Amino acid sequence: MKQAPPSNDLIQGTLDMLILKVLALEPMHGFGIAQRIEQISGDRLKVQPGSLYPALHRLTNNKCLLTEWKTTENNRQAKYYRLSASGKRQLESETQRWHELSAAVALVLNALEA
Amino acid sequence: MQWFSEMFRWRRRSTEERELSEELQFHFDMQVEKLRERGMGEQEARVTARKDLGSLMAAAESTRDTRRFTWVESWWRDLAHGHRLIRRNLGFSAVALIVVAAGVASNTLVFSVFKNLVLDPPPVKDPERVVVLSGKHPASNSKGALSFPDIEDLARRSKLVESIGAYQAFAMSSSTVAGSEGAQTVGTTVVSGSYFKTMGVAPLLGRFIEPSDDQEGHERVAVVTESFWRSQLGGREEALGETIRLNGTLYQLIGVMPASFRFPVEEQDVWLPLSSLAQDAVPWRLRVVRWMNAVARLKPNVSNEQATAELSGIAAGLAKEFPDTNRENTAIALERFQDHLTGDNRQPLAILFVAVMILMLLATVNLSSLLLGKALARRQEFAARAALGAGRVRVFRQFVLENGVLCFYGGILGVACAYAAFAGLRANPLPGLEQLSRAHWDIGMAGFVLILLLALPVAIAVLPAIQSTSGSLNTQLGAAFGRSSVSGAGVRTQRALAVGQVSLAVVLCVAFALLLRSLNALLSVDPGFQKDHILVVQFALPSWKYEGSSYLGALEQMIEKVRTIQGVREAATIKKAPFTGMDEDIALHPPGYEKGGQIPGARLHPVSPGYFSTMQIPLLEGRDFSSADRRGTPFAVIVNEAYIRRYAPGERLLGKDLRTGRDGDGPAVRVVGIARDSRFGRLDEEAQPCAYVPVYQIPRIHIAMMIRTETEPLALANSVRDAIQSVDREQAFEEISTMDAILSRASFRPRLLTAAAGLFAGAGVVLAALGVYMVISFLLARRTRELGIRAALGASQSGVAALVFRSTLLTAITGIATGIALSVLVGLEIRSQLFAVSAFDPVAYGAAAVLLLSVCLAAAIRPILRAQHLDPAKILREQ
Repeated sequence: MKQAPPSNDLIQGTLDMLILKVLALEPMHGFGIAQRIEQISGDRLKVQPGSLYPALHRLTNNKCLLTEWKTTENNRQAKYYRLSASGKRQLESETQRWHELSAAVALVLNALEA
Repeated sequence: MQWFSEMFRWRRRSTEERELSEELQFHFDMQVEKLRERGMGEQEARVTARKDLGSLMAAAESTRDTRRFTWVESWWRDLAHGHRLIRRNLGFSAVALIVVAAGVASNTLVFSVFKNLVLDPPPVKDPERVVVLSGKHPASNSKGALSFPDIEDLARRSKLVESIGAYQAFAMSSSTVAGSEGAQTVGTTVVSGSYFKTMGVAPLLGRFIEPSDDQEGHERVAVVTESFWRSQLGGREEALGETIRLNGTLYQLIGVMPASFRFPVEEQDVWLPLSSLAQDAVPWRLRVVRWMNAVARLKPNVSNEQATAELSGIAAGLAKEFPDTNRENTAIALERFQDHLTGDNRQPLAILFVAVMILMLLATVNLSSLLLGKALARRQEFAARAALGAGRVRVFRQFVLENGVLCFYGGILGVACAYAAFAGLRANPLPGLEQLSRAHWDIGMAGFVLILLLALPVAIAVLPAIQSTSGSLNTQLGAAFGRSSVSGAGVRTQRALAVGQVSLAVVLCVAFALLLRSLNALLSVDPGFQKDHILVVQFALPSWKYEGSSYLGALEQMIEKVRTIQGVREAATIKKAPFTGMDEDIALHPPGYEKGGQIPGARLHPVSPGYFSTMQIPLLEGRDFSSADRRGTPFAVIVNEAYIRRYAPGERLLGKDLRTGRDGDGPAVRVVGIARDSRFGRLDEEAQPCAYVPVYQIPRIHIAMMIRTETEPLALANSVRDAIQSVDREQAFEEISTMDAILSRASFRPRLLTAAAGLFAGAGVVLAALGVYMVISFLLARRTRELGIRAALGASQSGVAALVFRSTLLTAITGIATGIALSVLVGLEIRSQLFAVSAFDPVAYGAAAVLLLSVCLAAAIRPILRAQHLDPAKILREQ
């Protein structure tokens, strides 16, 4: 039951949040999203396509994202995702929750240390 | 309208899948480009990119069965994938294959025996109307033989019976036939003219024996079995009309019966008309000679009870007409033909069948949890599929097909093993269980195996399919990312499956333990005599062959001659050796016995002087018979303790007279001795009242000579045979064996049943141990991260081990408790097979519980040790 452990992977809700954040800046295709996350985090966060696409699919299904097929610079066809209004709202609440969570974890760690 | 929107959803889904495929292809191309930019070669880049994306693309591809004819394509793909999976995990596949094969083989074998013996009606016309008749003594339940004149009268006078056929197997002891293969010993049965008509089976070739053939002086004819015809006569059609030589006499072959018709006994080869048996061999025309069996076909719509009443009435009438010969034989017992064939095998077979089904269930659960573990390793693939809307059904189908491959191969192997076992049984019939050789292939069997092979992969795949596609994608992906949910559904299911396996194993173990203790008790029953070093020679001494008292002279000489053989300590005769079959009963009234009460019956044993000392049965009072007790001197009898206990408790019978006859109005016999109880019928039956009489006063045709030897009994067999034949050169023998062999034959069935139960229990324990091992490993793997954190936070290693230990204990105890509860039900069911052991025997239950508990704990050792050596840093890094 062992699989090769992915390095530094993300907890699921976090991934959603990061996708939404990246798309808040500009619409992008799947590959681009993964690249952007990697890039911004300084190569620390790698998104596996196995997690990315189901997440994108799900976010599309619950209307956080909208999709459109467009042509890229290299003349290829790619599916572009962009944030919807409800997606924007989702991003805000996710961000809020993340901050609360990390604060709580910090508290615990401090307490234990002492 | 539902199907309409279903169709739309289907179409939408297909679009989605197509789009995803293209997306992934795009992603792949971009990835390759990026790697090439970094300087990687084209090939290498493609390989690396494929590693990341491979499984996902495969998932997307294979859920893209949009068009109807890719349906076949995807089935094929799943099957091919199944093969690939097998090759990839040879170890697991080998184990699973063996489990499946063993399950299928044992199920097939047991079911076919069960079906052929218990479920299938006998291969005769309208089997419900066929019954077996026997003479019943009003004082007891034992079934006795009938005489031919009685049978004829029953047939003639009955209005409810269509026809009756008389038969006797092994009528001609050791008959030999000169066929194409030289002299062979064959099983011969003599039958009356209406036997075949009563059975109602058409011959394969030619015709069967009819009443016209069964006339004195008629040309001698014979009918043979199909196997005899094929092996001895070359299976030629022209063999009809040829003659075969049997014991020196020629018989014309008039017919061949089909292979399914092996009545009255399995070892049947030749049927001859009754009239071909000379009166000086066996005086079967005499009413007093009770030597034959009978089978009857009732008229339509006649119940067994009606027929029994009518026939018994006729028998009572005969008793009045012929008081000299029939006074005691006033009732007829009826037995359904089917019951007669299965004999006592019905219950044990049913038990075996249930046991093997339980084992199959255990194996299925085991394989299911194995598959579950493997499937959860592919959860990324399934998460993607589920996200793409690939339904649960689709994944289920994939599992079924992938496992179907394994089950198919395992099934083939299993069927091959079962087939080999059938052949083995036919070649080497088990003593006392010859009917098992009847087990064979037929449509019903093939159907059963097919259902088994189809149901197996489906049953195995159900849980894993449900688990792998369970709604919460959250858990799936979360698990993929290492966030463990401690009480996740996966662990719960695995644990439930393990508990199930443990409880089923407990049931099998309890059944085995009960049967084992019962067998032990049975085998330690004291038969009442000294059973070792006894040679048993069974033969028929035709009393009418000799005039007057020369019969007795012949017997006496035979005994004397045998006594003088070197190595023989003692020799004596009895009518039927213990545990060899039908008994004879008489009514024997102690003085002052109430008339109108239960008729006091006792088993009649005509013995020669010296029987008790030969068998080392103590005579508690009085004396043994001597040569002085013969025709002309007062009738003597020796009764046993059981007789006194039952009919004259506390009384002193020595020297008193007992009256014979149903109502106590027959001749009187004087009690000259009291013997210790000994068993004759069944090991699990109490000693019955017995009346020993001198064979010189009450002679019988059947003789069993019991010979106590100094050394190995069988070594003297030839000398004994010679000694007896020196008195009568033509004397043939029915059987020569030892008392030990006879006793072990009597206990063969319980021994076989117990051995089979032990085999199943052993297999069950192994599977359960595997199941527990798997769930503990699984639990460990799931909680590795959590345990790692705990260890990092300072929890001691032993704490971790204790956790695993507690988990194991919980699983084991739950399983054992449920198992015990189920076992109680099982115990009640097999009660009929248990001897001197209660269905709730605490030792058996306790032993099973202890065994399973230790096995579970042992199975958990390796995971516990691994838990001990967890390296927290490594775990956290991996997560």
